[in-house]
Amino acid sequence: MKALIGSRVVGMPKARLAVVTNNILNEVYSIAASLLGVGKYPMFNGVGVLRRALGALAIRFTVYNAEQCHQA
Amino acid sequence: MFRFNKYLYPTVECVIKRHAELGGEPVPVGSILECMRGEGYSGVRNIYYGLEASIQDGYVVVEYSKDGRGKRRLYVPTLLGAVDAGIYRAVAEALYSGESPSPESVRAFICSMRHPIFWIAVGRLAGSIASGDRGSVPHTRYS
Repeated sequence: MKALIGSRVVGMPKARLAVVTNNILNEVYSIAASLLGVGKYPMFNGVGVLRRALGALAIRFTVYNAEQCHQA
Repeated sequence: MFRFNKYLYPTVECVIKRHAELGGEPVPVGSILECMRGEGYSGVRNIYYGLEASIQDGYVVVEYSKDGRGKRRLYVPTLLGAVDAGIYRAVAEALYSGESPSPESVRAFICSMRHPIFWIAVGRLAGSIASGDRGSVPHTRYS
């Protein structure tokens, strides 16, 4: 949670912190993949054009929404 | 200024992986090069290029060794690096079939996706507390 808001973890043994950092990578990947979960829907499997179209649409949408992020 | 190249996030992932394998010790560059070659990235210069970008973006910090072999540069991953590398891997796999997105797209995706991921993580944490499982990191203090 603190990783997502950019805080530093204090007071944890460094060996444990290294494992936690690795777990954060995998957990964030898991959440992000489930958010983007194109592969989970069989109708998109093997349909390259649809997949790319969805990707392009997502990119346009995120670029549009990210303007505020860039300003922050 | 955000600096991006296709070696950036694979380098961060390698630093995180090797850092965990070394029990939290800072990672020497040789270990990162070895890991990157294992992932299919070649070219020492390119890998250094990714490493320098990761330092500039705040994903990796440099420490200097204090042993008797001079001041060697060693690398330690940050939590921000773990979060953004996770998002990048998911985006690259789901929407770009493993290829490298453009720098603008990467920046936009990472910036936009942190927010929903944060709230999903809050939901998961609340769920784990409600079910009595507080995870395996007791007595952790944050600042």
